[in-house]
Amino acid sequence: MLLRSLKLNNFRQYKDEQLITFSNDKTKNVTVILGDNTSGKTTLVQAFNWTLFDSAAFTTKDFLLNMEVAQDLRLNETANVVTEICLTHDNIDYIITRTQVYLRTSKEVTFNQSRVKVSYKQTDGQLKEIIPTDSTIRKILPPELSGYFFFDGERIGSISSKNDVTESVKGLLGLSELFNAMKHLKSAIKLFEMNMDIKGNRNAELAFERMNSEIARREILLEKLSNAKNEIIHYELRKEHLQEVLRDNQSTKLYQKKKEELEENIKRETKALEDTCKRLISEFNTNAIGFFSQPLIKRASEFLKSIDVADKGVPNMNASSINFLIQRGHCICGAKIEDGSEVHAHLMKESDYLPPQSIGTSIRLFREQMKMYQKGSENYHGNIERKFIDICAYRDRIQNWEDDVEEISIKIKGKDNFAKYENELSDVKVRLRRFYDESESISRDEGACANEIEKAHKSYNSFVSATSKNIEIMNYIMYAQKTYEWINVTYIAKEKEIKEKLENKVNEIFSKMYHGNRKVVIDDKYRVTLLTSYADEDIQTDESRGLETVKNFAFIAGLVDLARKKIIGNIGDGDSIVNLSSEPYPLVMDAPFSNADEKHVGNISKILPEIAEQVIMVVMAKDWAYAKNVMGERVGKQYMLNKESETRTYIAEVAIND
Amino acid sequence: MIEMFERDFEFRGKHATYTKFLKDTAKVFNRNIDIYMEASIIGLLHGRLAERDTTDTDRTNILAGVFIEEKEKCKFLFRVIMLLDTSTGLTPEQCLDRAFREDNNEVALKKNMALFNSYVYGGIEVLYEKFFTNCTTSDDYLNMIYTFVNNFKNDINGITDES
Amino acid sequence: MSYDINCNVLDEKKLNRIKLNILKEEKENQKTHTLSEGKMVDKIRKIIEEEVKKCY
Repeated sequence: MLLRSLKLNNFRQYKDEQLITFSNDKTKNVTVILGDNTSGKTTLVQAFNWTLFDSAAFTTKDFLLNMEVAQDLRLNETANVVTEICLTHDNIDYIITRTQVYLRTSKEVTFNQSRVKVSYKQTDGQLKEIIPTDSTIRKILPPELSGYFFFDGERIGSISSKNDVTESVKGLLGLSELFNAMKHLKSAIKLFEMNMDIKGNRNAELAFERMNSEIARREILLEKLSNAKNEIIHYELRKEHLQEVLRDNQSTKLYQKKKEELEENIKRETKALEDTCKRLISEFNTNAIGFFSQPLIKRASEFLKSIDVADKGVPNMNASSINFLIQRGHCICGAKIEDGSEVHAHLMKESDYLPPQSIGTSIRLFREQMKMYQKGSENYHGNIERKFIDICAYRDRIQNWEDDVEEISIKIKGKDNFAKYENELSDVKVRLRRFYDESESISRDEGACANEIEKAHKSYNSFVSATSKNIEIMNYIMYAQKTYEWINVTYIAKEKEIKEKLENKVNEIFSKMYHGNRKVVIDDKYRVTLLTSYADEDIQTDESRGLETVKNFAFIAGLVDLARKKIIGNIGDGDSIVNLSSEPYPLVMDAPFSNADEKHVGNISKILPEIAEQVIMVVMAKDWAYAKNVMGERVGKQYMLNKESETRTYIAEVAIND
Repeated sequence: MIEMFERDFEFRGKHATYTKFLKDTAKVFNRNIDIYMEASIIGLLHGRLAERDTTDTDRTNILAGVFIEEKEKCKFLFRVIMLLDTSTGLTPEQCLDRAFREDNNEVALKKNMALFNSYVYGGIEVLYEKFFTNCTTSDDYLNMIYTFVNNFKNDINGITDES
Repeated sequence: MSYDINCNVLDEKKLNRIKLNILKEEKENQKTHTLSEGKMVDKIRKIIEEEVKKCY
């Protein structure tokens, strides 16, 4: 960073607008500002702090407005305190302006929060304002480092024993980055490790097993399903076929039915026919005698008429009956029949009229029989005829029906029995129902199984991805660790190097500033200690103070010098070179020689311009007198602080040779 | 006294065959006795006498028990035939005697029965001829029954007998 | 903790890029102090992850 100018406006004793332009020359890189005590040397240096960081350590309160201006303020009138720094940082020209408004109220003069404005010069020369954030100025100069570059000599004693030296020095010398990188990498590695999932591996195995067993189960189910489906196809085809057959032969069914009806009829009629035939034959047989003997009876009747046959006998009695009675010995009436008696003779005579002797009885009987048969034959023909007619009718009907049956049979010839098909159809339907139910059930099972597979698969994937994630993470860890190791190595090396260099440099500067057998050592915390040589223990107070000053100067000078030389680190292949340090900073010192003696002043002033890019010193005239001899040639600009009053100082440029 | 129609009767030879035919094949007669009785009438009506066939080619019989059942009918027929038969050249009084008085005359009865039976044989032949020719089916036989009866009716309405 | 590292061979170029980027970020933050510790760790983590994931 290079300071170009500082403009003050009513800043403390610097009333109105006052400008200092600093030397930017490479060889004449010293700007001297002479001023006695209380002229405002400290204020000047503090202006830098206030402008950049809104902090200035003044013993009085932060009332920055020039007193005279403040007093002149009328009620409700305002006045501004403005400071402006022009600097160059990272090859960009910045203008940083801070303003604070003061207002006269009835009670007092109040002031508001100061406001900073940052602008930079663009490549075309135009000024562009940027809205300053916390980091805007910080990027230019971190506040914690400001103490090293804008410091006053009075507090110089405490610099090198500050606790935060380490950080600041590391930051200054570029080690902080390495250190922080390592710190952050360690945390990052821890984070990575935490994200690793060791359990995931086992879980992945379990999920994989489960998935496979479900897949196997699903295979079986699918096969079962396939079988059921095949059965269904088979039976559906059969059903279709049967239905087609039955559909096509609906008419056949009707014929079939008709045929069956006819056959029923035929059967019935045939029975009737058979019965009637039997009855006819029976009639024929039973009463044949009567009928067929008609003509014979007629002849016999006539014949018998022609012969007179007296019918005297007792009906139904014949000679053997008489004989029986005679034999018996008593008559039917009970009268005794003795042989030779009148009764006997009477009976004997009677027997003449009885058959066989007397045929009258027989004839009479015969005549009755003839009469009977004749009568009985009257209906014979009629009965038979009627029956015969019925039989013929039956026969006709049967024949017709049989013809019809024959006709139908011809029609449905070759067509099968449908009862058989219908039964099969019912059976097929039942089977189909069963197979449909089965396939539905299997489908459900299979669906559930597929879900299980899906779940297990997803589970497996998540665990596997965890596993592969683990691998990924391990990769990260590997790279992080390697990076860490490299940085560590670099850091250690650099730190060692820096410390060595610093120590050497500091000692070098120290020895130039101080003649004596002293050596400084820098510990791990970058504290500078004077190594006391064994012989010499008694040190005088002012000498020790002077020694401190020199020591601190040397330290700062060493820092500055080191910072000025870029610490270069190689990254691996040497292609890219990382600039690990910050850019050089100017030294702005307020009364740097106040505690040093002559000799030291001389030495310090010789070394300072050599090691700092730009040196801006605010010194007392008397101190300058010593330094001028040594440093004189390096002065590029010279100013003088003219204290006109307690409340008013003016900066005036002075020609260098004064 | 010798009773007629009280013994077993046996058909032989062709008459047996014819009888069997009429009863078993044509089934126009239910019993052999029915054939016997009918045949006697038919034989007389057609004036047909036949010798008893004594060959042993066939046999069939009528049991005594059956005769006893139909004794009255048979007796009636016997009397009719004895009365009206003219083949032996007897006088009417002789016929009458033959019909009514000779039942107990063993010799005469035997002769009369032989005559009666020869009309039976003749009648069987006629019946056979009637039912055998032109008949083959059971329907034919049945039809023939009606034809036989019907024709007979037509005949007697016009004429008395064919003797 | 030791790992069964079945991962790729360390890619030097990758490693160098990681180093470079991390140090750039650190340097930036050193000046600006914008990011907190936690955020810096995250940033570095992301640098590593992104770089490792690259396939070129």
